[in-house]
Order: sequence, then C-alpha cells, then structure tokens
Amino acid sequence: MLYFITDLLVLGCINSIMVVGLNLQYGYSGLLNFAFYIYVAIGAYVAAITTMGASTVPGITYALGWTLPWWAGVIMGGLVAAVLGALVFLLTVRRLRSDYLAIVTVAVAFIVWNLIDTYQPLFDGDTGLFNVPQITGKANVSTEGYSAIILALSAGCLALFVWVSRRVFRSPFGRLLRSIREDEQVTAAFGRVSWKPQIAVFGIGSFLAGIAGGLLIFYISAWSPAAFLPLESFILLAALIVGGSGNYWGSMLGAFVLIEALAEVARYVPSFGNGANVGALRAVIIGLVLILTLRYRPEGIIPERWLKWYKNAAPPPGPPAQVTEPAAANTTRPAAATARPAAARPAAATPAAVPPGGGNVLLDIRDVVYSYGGARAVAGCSFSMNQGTVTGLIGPNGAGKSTLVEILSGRLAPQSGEVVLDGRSVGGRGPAGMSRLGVARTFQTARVLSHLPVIENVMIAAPGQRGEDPLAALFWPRGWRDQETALREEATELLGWLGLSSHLGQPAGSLSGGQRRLMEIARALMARPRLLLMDEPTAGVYPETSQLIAQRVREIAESGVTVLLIAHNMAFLSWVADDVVVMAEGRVLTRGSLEQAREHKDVIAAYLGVAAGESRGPQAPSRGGVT
Amino acid sequence: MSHLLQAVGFGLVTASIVALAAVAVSLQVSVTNFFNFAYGDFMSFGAYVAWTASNQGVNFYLSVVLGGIAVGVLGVLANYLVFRPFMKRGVRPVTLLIAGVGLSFVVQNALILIWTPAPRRFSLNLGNALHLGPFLLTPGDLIMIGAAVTLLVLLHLMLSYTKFGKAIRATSNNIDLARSCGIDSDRVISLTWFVAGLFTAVAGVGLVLQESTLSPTTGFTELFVIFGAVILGGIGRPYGAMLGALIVGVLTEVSGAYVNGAYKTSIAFGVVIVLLLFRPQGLIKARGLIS
Amino acid sequence: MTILRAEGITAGYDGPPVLDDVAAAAEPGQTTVILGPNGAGKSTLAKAILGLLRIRDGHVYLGDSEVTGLGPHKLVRRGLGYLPQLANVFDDMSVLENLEMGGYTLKGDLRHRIASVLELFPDLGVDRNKKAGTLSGGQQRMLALARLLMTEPVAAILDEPTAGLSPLYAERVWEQIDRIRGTGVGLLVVEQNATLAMEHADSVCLLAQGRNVLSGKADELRERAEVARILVG
Repeated sequence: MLYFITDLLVLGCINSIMVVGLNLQYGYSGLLNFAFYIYVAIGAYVAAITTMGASTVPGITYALGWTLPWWAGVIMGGLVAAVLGALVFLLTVRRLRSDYLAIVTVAVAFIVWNLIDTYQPLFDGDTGLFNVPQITGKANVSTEGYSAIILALSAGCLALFVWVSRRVFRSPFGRLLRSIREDEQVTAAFGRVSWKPQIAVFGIGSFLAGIAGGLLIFYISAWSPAAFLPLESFILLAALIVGGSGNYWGSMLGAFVLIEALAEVARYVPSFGNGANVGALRAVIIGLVLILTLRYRPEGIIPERWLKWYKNAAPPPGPPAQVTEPAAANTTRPAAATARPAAARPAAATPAAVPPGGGNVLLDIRDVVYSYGGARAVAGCSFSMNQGTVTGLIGPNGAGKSTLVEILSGRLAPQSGEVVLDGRSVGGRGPAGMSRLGVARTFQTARVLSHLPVIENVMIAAPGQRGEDPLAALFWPRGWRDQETALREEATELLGWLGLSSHLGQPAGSLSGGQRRLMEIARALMARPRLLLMDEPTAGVYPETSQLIAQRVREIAESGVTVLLIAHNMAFLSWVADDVVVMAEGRVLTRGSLEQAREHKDVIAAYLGVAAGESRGPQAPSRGGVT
Repeated sequence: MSHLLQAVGFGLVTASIVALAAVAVSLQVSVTNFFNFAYGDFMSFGAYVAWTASNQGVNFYLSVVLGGIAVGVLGVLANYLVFRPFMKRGVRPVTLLIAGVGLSFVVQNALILIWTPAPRRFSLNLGNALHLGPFLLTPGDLIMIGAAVTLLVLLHLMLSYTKFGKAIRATSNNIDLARSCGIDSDRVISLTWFVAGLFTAVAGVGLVLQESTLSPTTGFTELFVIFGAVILGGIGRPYGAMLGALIVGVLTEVSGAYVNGAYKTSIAFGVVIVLLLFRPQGLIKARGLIS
Repeated sequence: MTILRAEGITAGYDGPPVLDDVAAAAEPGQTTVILGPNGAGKSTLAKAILGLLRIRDGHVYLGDSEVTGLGPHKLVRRGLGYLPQLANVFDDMSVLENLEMGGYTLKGDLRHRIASVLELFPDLGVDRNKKAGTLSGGQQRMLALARLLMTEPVAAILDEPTAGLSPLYAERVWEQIDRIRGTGVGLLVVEQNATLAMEHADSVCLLAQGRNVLSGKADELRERAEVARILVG
C-alpha cells in the first residue's frame, strides 16, 4: 500500500514537472508545443546513454555509452533538451501563426519519434533501452526504498521548478511574456521584440522536460518509443488546460488529477478484455474532459486571475488623488485642473528640454507617399509640428489620416518621401524602432490586454525594464526590484491622474470604452514619449470623459510632449488643438486654426464632395479609388 | 526506370485516395476556416463501418455507402456539438485546433474500445495485377482510381451547376454577403460537413484496401499526407487540393521506392513542415487564411 | 405613403448611444439620402435598420409590417435589398453566378429575371462569364446593384455606393440608381459625397452626432448654407 502511494506520488511529481514546463511555454507565453514530450524522451535517452556505459548485450546498440554519474546524466538530458528546444524555436516559431505552429510541432514530434523508432544505432530503435542502472549504483536497495529516494529527488526538483516558475511569473520578464501572449502587436508598439523572451521560455520549458525525462528513466529503468507516443504530449496539454493554464497550481492540479488520479481510477474499472482498453478509455475521457473544459470553463479549474498575485497587483486605492470630472455640457475650454504629476523617476534621458511650443520643430513630414495596391492613400503629404504643441488632423473619410498615423508609428514605411523626427530621418523603422525613438500611440479601437490587470497593461509600456531579461529575472532580483516598485508607483499615479484609481487590479477587459481610452493614454505616457499619436481618442466616449481627455492632453503638451490627434468632434478639437491640419485625398489642403479651416472654401468643398463633371479645387488629382 | 514508373503507378492510386480526402478537407475548410484535426480518425471510422457491414454479408459497395453516411453524420454532429459552439463564441484558432486534437483522441480511442486494437483484414480480391503500359495495377487499384475520378467529377458538377453547390461557393467566398442573399449559412455548413464526410469515408476504405489491414490508427497516420496535399494546393481551394494530392501521392510513392519504407510517413510530415514554413499559400494562391 | 420607415432609433455599441431617436424614411420610386459628417452615425443607421446591430429602442417598418431587427437574411425575402459598403460581390464567382445568388430566394428558372436585370446593366451583360474579382471597382459596384435587384425588392438600402470610385464612375452609379428608382423601388442611400448625392436625391436626411438635424426635400435644402456647415462639423 505504501509503495502504491509512493509510486503515485513519484509519478505525480514527475508529471507535475512536465506540466509546469509546458505551462511556461503555453500558459505563460501562448506557444503551443505538441512536441513537448519528445523533449522528455530526449532527456531520458541522454541521461541513459551518458551513464549506462557501452552495451554488452549483442544486438543492442546505442550511441555514446559513457559512464558519467547519474546526476550529470540528468542535467545533461535537461541541457540537450533545452538547446534542441531553442533550435526548433528559432527555425519555426518566428515564422508561423499559432495554429500552424501547433501543426508543425506535431509533425516534428512524429518525425523525431519515427527516427528514434527506426534508426537502431541511435537509441536502439523500437526495442529501447532497459536495465538502466539505478542512481544508488550497486547498493542493495529495496523497491520501496528506491521509490522513496526518487520521490525525494523528484519532489525536490518540483519545488525548485515551481520556485523558478514563480520567479518568472512575478518578474517583468513574466509580464512581458503575458503581454506578448495577449496581443503581440501592442507589445511591439511599445518597443518589445517577441522572439527573445519566447526563445528563453522555450528553452527553460524544454529543460524542465529533459530533467523530468531523466528522473523518469532512472525510476522505471527502461525507456522505449512506446513510452512517448504523441498521445503523451496531448495528455500533458489537456492536464494543463483543465487544471488551469497560466499558473503552476493549476499545472500541478492537472498533473495529479487528470493524469494520475484518472490512471488509477481507470485501473479499477472492470476490465473489458485487454490492457489496451484501459488506456483507450482513459484517452477518451481525457479528450472529452478537455473539450468540455474548453467550452464551459476555458480558463481551467484554477484560473490565472484567482492568483493572489493579481489581487495584490495594485496597491489599495490611496488618498483621493482623484480628479473631479468637469460638469457636463460645457462647451468652453475647461480650466486647467491638476497639473500632470511630477515624474517619480529622474528626468528622462532625452535631448535637452525645450520650453513648450518654443519654435523647436520636432516632427517634419516631407512629401510622404503611400499606396495600397493601386490606390494612393497618402499622396505627397507635408507638414511639420513644433515641440509641445497639439495638432488636430482632420479631413473627410478616405483622406489618408489613419494611414499617415500608421506611417508615423512605424507600422508602415513611406514608399517615398521622408519622416524626420528631431532632425533624424526615421522612415521604415517598424513600431518597435519608433517606440524606442519616443513615439507612442493610442489606437482607433482601444487595444487592451484583456486578461491582465489594468496596472500591468500600463506598466508594460515603460522602456528599459531590467527585469525583462530572463537571467536577471531569475538570478538577480536585486537589480530590478527597486525599479519595479518605482514603475508601479508611477503607473498608479498616472492612472489616478486619469481617473482610474479604483480599477487598478481589474482585468482590462472589464473596462468600459471610455475607461479603455483613458487607460491607453496612461499607457502611452508610461513610455515617456516625445511624440504622442492619437487616433480618434474620443470616439464612443461620454461627453464628460471627452472633456477630461481634452484637459489631460493639454497638460501633456504643456509638459513638453508633442501631440498629433485625428478627431472628428469639433467641440473636442476646439478645446484641445492649437491648430489643425486638413487632409483630403492624401494631401494637406490647408493648415491653420480650427475656425479658419471650417470657413475655408476648399475645406468645405472637400467635405461636401464633388459634383458630376466638376474637378476638385486646386489639386484636381486623378484618383485610383480609395475607400 | 521501370521501377520508377511502377512507383508512379502506385502513386496514382495513393493520389486518388488522398485527393478524395484532401478535397473533403479543403471544402470544409473553405466554409469554416479551420482544420479539423480529427479527419484521419473519421477516415478510420468510415472504414470500420464499411468493414463491419461487409462482414455481415452486405454487398461491398453498399457497405462503402453506409460508411460514407456514417462519417457524414459524424461530421455534422462534430460540427454541431464541438466546433460550431466555439466558432459562435469567437475563439483563437489554436483553441479550435486543440478541440480538434481532443476530438481525434476521442474518436480514435473510441474505435479501439468498440473494435479492439487488433488489426483486421479487409481486402477485396478482384484478381491479380495487370500490366498496363509501364504500370502494374490490380483491378482493385483501377476501381479505386475510377471511383475517385467519378466522385470528383460529380463534386465538380455539383459545385458548378447546382444551386446548392453554388451556395457552398458563395458561403466560402463571402459568408456575410451569402446571408444577405438569403442563403442559410448554417445549413450550408452542415451539409458541407456531410459531403466531406462521404468523401472521407470512401478515402478511408481505399486506404485500408491498399494495405489490406484496418487498424484504429490507419487514418491518423495518413493525416499529414492529406494536410500536405491541402496546403500544397492552397488551403480552402478544393480544385487546388486535387493537384496537391496528385503531387503528394506520386511523390510519397516514388520516394518510398528509394528510401526505407518506414520513413515514408516522416517524409510526408517533413513536406508539411517545409510548406508551412516557406510556402504556406501553396502553389495556387490560398484565400485569406494565412495571416 | 412610405415604403421604408425607421422611427425613434436609438442604437450603438459600448458606451453612449451612437444614434439617439433618429428617424428616416423612403417613399416608393424616390431616393432619400442620409448625409452627415464623420461620426454622425450614417452607417450605424443603415446597420440598425437592417438588424445588423442591436437596437435599444425604435422601430422599422417595411410597408405595413414591422421588421425591426430581422437581419438581411430574412429581410431579403420580405423585399428589402441591401448593398453593403465593402465586399459586395462574390469575387470568386462569375457575373452570372453573382446574379444567380442574388436570386437565391426565388423559385424556378432565373434566366428570365437575369435577362430583365441585365437590360438595365448592358455592360455587365457583355462580361457575364467573367469572374467578379477581375472587374474594376466601378463595375463591381454595378454588379452589386444588379444583384440586389434580382429579387425585385420594394425598397433597398445602399451603404455608400460611390465610395472609392472615380468621379466618372460615381456619376454612372448614380445614373443607375436613378434608373432603379424609376422602376418604383424606394431607396435609402447613405452617402459621403453630399454634393453629388443631393443632385440626385428627392429627400435629404441630415444627421449630426447621432441625431436628426435637418430633413426635407432635396430641392429646398440644396442651397442652404447650414448644410455645408453641418457637414464640415
């Protein structure tokens, strides 16, 4: 009986290590790796062939045949698995969307399996390895005793890896992974490249797989392709999802309940014929449980948001730093209310501060052209902006305003012409590059990381976070803990300044449309931009919030940030913009105060449209057709 | 050389089988936008139903039809119970894939429970192989090729000339516009799954007859060959899938003649990896599914 | 006697309603254009009438029957046609097949009906076997109009039918719309190009910030300065 429980616990621990590893890859990072169990197998094989010594039995061959001590073998197994994992990642993940990646990993799993099964000299093909020596060497240990030893070892490893998992989760590195998982584009818009953190987590997860494999082979003393069919990866994934992906408690729960408990229960079901039926029944049940979980409780039994980490993510709402929202239906520009909070961090390392609006040209757009297929969206657009000013970008639908903003934010590269930021030509840098140069943006439809708390959504934007480096996250917390606290304070202040103090710990997906827009502003500011691009920041927002946004944007400009915003609401523009640029048909039609623009003959004609047979104002371009 | 040509001949038989399955998959993908990972097991299921009926003394061809209907119904049920609820909710493509993998394991293992894992013998002895030009084919092979060609022609006629076939094409092209024209897209999708099921079952039977043995994993191991054909032809393009099947079928047989047979399936898997990495749009431009 | 009538429509997405107590109507054989500055809610109104968007309050009537919230799938059988702004043809199918799909809900042989429709669109007849995706933007628009006529609707909603077209084609599309109007269909047309639209409209419904600000006969409103002011915003 004791042996039975010990056996259960050992396998539970080892399976938990695997699921925790898979959680790092899929739960934390959203990378689906169906080849996961192959890394377990590789870990097992490497551990064996580096410790077993050469084969003395005729007909059995396998590579290496070294005789390292058992612990070296296990570690080597982990390392080889990690390296292979990183390699596979480099070759595949960078290029594929999520479901195709999954298909490729299934293919990889099968190919490796096929190779090992068929090619004898590698690991003795389908016969596999057996009589793997125990870690206790020649000492005479009872089966129960040996199990206990392995149990201690496995439990110890599990504890270690749970600690690793926890460290990763609570660090900026973990936050970065979550952010990439939720919305890769938004993360890129704030200067982050995805593949570096992903390859790190792929490697770590594979390392865990390899270690688990090593432990397993020393426990059962044998290993063959029959032990690592593709089914096993699937069972791990099912355990992860059902238990609750994204957190290690869920992983362990899944491992113990779905894998172990189910296996034991299946043993007691009156057998109907042969052993294969038990395994098949187990697989059917697992498959059904998985489908049902995905449908009715997709976050799993222990969802990520239950973690105390999330509940504690935000400091309790402190003394009211709240801004009272101005009274409704106020058409005059609201008086400047609270000034923007002084930065909790030292002055940003940007070029010497210039007094706002002090004639220093920050952005110069020169003859930029961009066409989609045959249609010219931006047809030679030129204008410039002084630092610390707020410029409204207006014009009828199809004028090219949004395309211009996409070019300025780096998502599109100008096909001809130049964008000059503070004296430097910056076309074609991509969103990450532009972000590093101090360009931040909000989106036409607010893009939030729905499952993460509001405060994390904002913190992700701050540049230069030392804790995002995986090694620093794991081994040198002292290097980033202080920075993290400072960032948290700053994010809290910013969110308070925008009226969101009581929503810090909420998942961002539960915010209303107006609140999301406010959060986006906080997020953009967190990136310490020099240039802030806003695409319809008040669409779908209540008038009071609209006024708050206008107020805040003016304060942002007063602190030296240059703002370009696309807007249609004339009242909002009158509150917020220093002047407006009117675009029509991809070009600048005129520039001046809002009142001047509204009276301008050509502007009115642009908004009204062209009559039959009439040519358009001074430009008269020939359009290919733009929607 | 004759060795090579013979391999090509076998390739044509494989291509016929793969074509039926690949066209089925492509058709279904074109209206629903995701891969059903359980298709291989659907094929096995169809073959088992046909085998059971045949064993009970039912006429062979009728057994195949029964298998077809069984898989058709299975497809409709899978759509209704598993996939459609997810799609209505709007989930990530990965989730549908995982659900498909789950379904695959359920079906495959259900087959083991019902029919036991022991391989069954399923063959149709219609005479010895004949030399037809450079090819060496049995009458059974010829019937397979003939059946595939016939079914594909019928499908083409349906898609081109019948109201329902055009409704399928409209739905796959632009589902919202199709609805605006009064087309009941849910019904179209259900019926597409049924037709795909029919084809899948016939492919499954063909697959089994090729090796004369039937086991629960028969279909699953062929899955990636089918995926390869679908991707090669352009995902969501049934006509492309026919071409893809031809290429993949001949290629696997020819390569199998030169390389250890055990690696044949790995080659198919490898081809899929290479395709997805370097040319996911296929030889013929796929529609909108690659992002 | 209006053929298509929307009253008291309040609708929107998350947040404040995009449309607040809006009304619009079309009479048989007449064109009503819906105009307004960006963000006024023109497209939202079209979607609300078609049931593509949940209406919080208000009613839509087609003839005598209420059709609030039915959806284009059902509305097409009741005789309300719809020309969407984007993706309005089956680009993988031929011109002829597009028309057949337009007539999907009809019984019997469609050839007669197709021939009558093509009489209004001679250019399409020439290209009848070409794939719709190979046609130019303007021709596709014509095809979409022809398709919607297949069911002989009593009324139709056109969402920005001239968007993205050259001035020449925009005028041609309006000429077609006039011809359709001539067959007795009541048309509700959402448009961005106000000048051109008002030249062809019978009635105008001007929206701003989700409300009706001005409605009336096009003849009367054509010269009024405030229309220009409202449209600029």
